Amino acid sequence: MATDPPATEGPPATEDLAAEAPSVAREPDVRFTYANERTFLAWNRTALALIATGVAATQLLPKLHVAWGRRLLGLPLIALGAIVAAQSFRQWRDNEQAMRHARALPRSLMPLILTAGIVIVGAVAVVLAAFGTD
Amino acid sequence: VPAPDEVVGRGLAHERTILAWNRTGLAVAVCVAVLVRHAWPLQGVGRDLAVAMIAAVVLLWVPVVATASRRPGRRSLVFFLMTVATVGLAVVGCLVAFLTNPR
Repeated sequence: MATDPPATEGPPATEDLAAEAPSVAREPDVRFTYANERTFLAWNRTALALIATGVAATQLLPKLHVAWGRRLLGLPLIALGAIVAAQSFRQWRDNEQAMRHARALPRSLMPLILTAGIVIVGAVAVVLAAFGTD
Repeated sequence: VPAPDEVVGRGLAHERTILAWNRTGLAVAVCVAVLVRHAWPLQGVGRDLAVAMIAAVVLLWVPVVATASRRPGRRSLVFFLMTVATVGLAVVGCLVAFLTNPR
């Protein structure tokens, strides 16, 4: 059976080198550890705010003409809060690993996910406000 | 021997982190209060139970902040439990949104 040629030629990327090299874990500067911890906490507070806002949207908004109108706004916010909370732990752990092995910090998709989620819910809210109320 | 400004920097970073933990604790208490407020009618025993739940959250937060006050090390269990608690609140929030019938 013929084997496929390597996908790329030339030297491997820096991340590949870091993954292959047997690096020794070292305790990072405590300030960076604290900064990583605060970032985790900030994302967690954002998640809590999303959950509280979602619950408030389902319970406190006036009734809309659209069926499930309030839940259409609140449930995505609550779900987004759960996603942000889970991702914040993953990001904290990945950052911690990267710092211990002196690697570049991994790229985070969380700002994109959060912004996209809020924009979508905002757009739905605008549509509901325009067509779903008296 | 670390330079004096480095010592100050580390101390301030620690202080900012403790403040961040306390802000997060307040956010958890507010989130629980919002959920409890809409989960069941706040009358009689239900009201006392709601107040007890919010007080329990505040009391639970004491060991969390005490753990966070120590020097940083491998404290992934605290972070993991924090994440599980937040996702749990989201699940309760979904149940409240589905099961309750607001006016």
